[in-house]
Amino acid sequence: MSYRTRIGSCAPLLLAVMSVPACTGIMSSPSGPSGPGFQSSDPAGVSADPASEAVSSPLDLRDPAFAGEDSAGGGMPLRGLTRAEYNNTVAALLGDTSAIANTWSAETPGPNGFLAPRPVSNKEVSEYMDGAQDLADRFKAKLDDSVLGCSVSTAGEEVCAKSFITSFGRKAFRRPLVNEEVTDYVGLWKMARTTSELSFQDSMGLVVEAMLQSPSFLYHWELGPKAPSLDGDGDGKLVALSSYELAARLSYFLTQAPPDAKLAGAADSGAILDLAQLNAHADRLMESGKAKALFQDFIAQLLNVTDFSFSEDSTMRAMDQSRRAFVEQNVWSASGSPDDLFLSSEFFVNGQVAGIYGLTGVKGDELVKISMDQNQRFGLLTHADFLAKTGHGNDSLAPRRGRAVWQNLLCGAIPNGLPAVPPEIPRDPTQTMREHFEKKVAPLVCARACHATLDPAGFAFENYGGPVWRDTDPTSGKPINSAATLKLPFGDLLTYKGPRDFVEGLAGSEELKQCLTRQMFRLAIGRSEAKGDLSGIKAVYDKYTSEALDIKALAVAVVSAKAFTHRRLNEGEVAQ
Amino acid sequence: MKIPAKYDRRLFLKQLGLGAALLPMLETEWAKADAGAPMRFMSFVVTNGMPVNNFFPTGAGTSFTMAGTCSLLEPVRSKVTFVQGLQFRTLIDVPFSTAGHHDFGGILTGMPVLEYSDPRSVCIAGGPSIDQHIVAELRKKNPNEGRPLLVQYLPGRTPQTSWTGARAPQTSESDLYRLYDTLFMQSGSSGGTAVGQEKLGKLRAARRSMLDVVGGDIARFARNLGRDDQERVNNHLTSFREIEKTFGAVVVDGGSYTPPRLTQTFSSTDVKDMPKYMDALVKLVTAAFASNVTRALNFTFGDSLGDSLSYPHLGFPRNPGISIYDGGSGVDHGEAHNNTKTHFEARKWLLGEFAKLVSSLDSVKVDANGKSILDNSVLYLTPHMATGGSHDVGRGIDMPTLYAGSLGGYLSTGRYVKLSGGRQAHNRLFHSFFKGMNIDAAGFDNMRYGGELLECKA
Repeated sequence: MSYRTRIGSCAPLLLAVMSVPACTGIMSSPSGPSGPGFQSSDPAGVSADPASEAVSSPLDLRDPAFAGEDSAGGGMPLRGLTRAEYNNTVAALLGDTSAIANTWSAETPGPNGFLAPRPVSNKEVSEYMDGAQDLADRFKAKLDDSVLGCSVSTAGEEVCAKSFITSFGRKAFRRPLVNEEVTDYVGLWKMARTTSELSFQDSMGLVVEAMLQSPSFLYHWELGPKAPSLDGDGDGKLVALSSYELAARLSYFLTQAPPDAKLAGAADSGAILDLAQLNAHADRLMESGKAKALFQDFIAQLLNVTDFSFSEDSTMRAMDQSRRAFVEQNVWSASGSPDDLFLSSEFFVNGQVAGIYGLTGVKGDELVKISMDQNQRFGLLTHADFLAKTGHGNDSLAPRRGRAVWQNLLCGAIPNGLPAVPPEIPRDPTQTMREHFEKKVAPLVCARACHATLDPAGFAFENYGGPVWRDTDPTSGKPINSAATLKLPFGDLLTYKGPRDFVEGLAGSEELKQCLTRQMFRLAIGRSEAKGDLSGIKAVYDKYTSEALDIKALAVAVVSAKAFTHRRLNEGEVAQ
Repeated sequence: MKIPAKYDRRLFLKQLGLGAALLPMLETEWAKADAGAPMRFMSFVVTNGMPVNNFFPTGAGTSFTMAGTCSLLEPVRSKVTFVQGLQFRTLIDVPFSTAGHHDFGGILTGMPVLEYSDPRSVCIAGGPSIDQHIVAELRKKNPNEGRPLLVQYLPGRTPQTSWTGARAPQTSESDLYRLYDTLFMQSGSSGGTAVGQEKLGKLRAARRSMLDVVGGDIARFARNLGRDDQERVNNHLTSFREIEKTFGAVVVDGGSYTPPRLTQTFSSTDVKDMPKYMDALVKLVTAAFASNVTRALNFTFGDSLGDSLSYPHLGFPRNPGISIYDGGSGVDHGEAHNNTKTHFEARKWLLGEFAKLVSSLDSVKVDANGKSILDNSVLYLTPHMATGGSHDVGRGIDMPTLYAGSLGGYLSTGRYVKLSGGRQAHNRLFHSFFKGMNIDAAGFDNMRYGGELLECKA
């Protein structure tokens, strides 16, 4: 995978802002929206395969050319469990709800632009070791026949140990253990129990500790130590996921957790390989509410605010809770449409968040549902977390905000510019931040293309100094101007008078619908889309638009795509 | 992060329900592996730039006057050398621009960076960083050398500065209390009963077997993966082996130094506690070097943007309503560009903290002649760009650089060195450190930028 594809992007040009946090940092993590809009040049993780060629923006899914046979356009890059997935997995496996991974290394953008665990280095291995040790300690403390699922006094230690290793391993690895693995773990137990004379509990704890450090537990790869099998109907590079892989993919996509008992049963029997069964399980998980995790994560990543939930700062956590309540309300109790998500003025605030919104009547930590001023607060993009994250302290920052909207919600491409860093341009205090960009920065030859593209998507939020509404720029004393015209990725012009006007146009845009489709697809399959995926994505889009743009229907529709149930061989991978 | 030596002890003690009272007995298990005076290296990397016009002294040689930013270094001036005329050639000698914040990853390595991408916040190093190279070389003589300690204050999600090799990043620890607690085993130290060596040996054997199973499992897992995935799992295995390798092996001076008890009265993530964090860092570095748990320590102050940094204790809280998250308007990022008073004060304070670290290391004597840990160390301080405003990495502005400690008298200290003949690669300064530590430089940068800086030799 090449990281060079973005060299020369416009990001460095924003250095010219000066007196504001300019340059590359404006648009990049951790403060900028470097979220799920990025693609590498080799998004599918394979090369020299026409189906795996990267697609370029803009891409209009209404194009009849995409209405061909569905296929899978890319491989399946190996991905570790995220912290949330790890926490949920050990909760399901051991009943441990301590969220032990919360303090571990934060995720970084993965091959699909969505966050993925860092490449494993010494620190991550230490975290896995520490975590496994602590979890095993707690496991040992409550180990009895009911946990073992076996009566030691009746069946004997070794029989119970082997039985536990087999059943625990099935859950931990999301697949049955291969014989070699059973031999290793039973051997470890025997060595600990006999040669080292550890107690039965300590010996079992050692086995659990080892399993929790296994890559089969830590990575999404339920194939085990086997080579993949080719799909007989494919082109020689197409692999059908095994029932265990498919069950795990579905479960982690929808719930960020391992398969439940029903799904595990369908994996064991192979029933999950039937598309109707797969869809039935997707519907079941959706209806049970277990899929709430998906939408919270999906939306937080689109807004680049995932870090708020891990923050130790109470105000950030309050903002996070406020947005989560809003998402839950509008995905589950409302229709889940863009209109609900981007335009509803029913907010959930506690005392801390209320202060940011200038509300005086709400006190305490409890979230309260409030009808906000419809011209100032509506939808996700006027929530405090997004505005704080993409603003500049107590000021606005049109390029950063514009980039978040343009790239993450419209799937727009970023024009390339010169990579050189221009000289500093101090901000004139008689100018608003917008005027600074319009008059001092954007006219620079080196910055023109980027700012012309991005800034109009950010000027709509000039009324928000950080997360706080304002009518006047406190630096220059001038009234705020939040009117502009944005050229959308498909070429239409969106002319707006203010933030509400802009977001209404955004929510109704074709680009948003298509972008949400593509982003959901990327999240589901763990990579960016490739040419071979486009027919499947189009089918997902058609289903989504036929179901009143309900984001829940979008998620279920993705499951039916061939790229969800199949993959191509990764480079260097050899099939059986 | 856990240092294997202490990790080993902690594991045994934890399993047996024993505490620190057992430690002296356990110490006897391990031989002091290095009889010579151990030399140590620390990098102290500062996000963004320095007020560069107010950084270098006036004067020359031993007759110099500190600039205002560095005024708090005055008490340790005899231990410090300023080096003017350096540039980051690893970031300059590349066929693409690295003119951004995310070149962070290439500043401690010897080889030019391989790739650079702003949006993904990625800078891929072309070889090992100096901290990793030093330990790798030391381990050729003593396999039980502790691995480098990697510490980063408010790391965010931006690149790291430590690499074990090309494309092999190493993540730093950010929770300083946790690291200290792990290294010096404060928690649960309530005493216990003695246990026989035989039982300890059996416990150790069981844990080794467990690690063998895990290691074999990782290797088996990688067998049928594709190229990129195999590389990823192999890196996982390498890190695992790295830890496993030193399991049960300890290098401890056994000297008179007793690490002070650290109380968790600070948060590693709240800028309001920044002074307490830095105080804890001083204790950590001193204890780590004095106890020889490592000979290489890599510290980074802030992430590659500096957005998370503000300085409430100096009166620069920025957007206090949102506390540590200030939307990118921290003093370092927002105001570094114009050498403002806030940036000056922030840097002056930070260099004052560095001076405290120098003093602390100098207070731990290692021989009867008064030689200190500091005298047998070198502390290299650099920002990751010359000034935040220019993002210059030495193309047009000298990198603000200083070091403290003489590596046993090999390096000159108490001086202001102005290099002549054009800007030199900062790697040459690393070569001076290698010489002082008796480290083979081969494999670090293949001498592509020249050897040591004779101007820095005592």
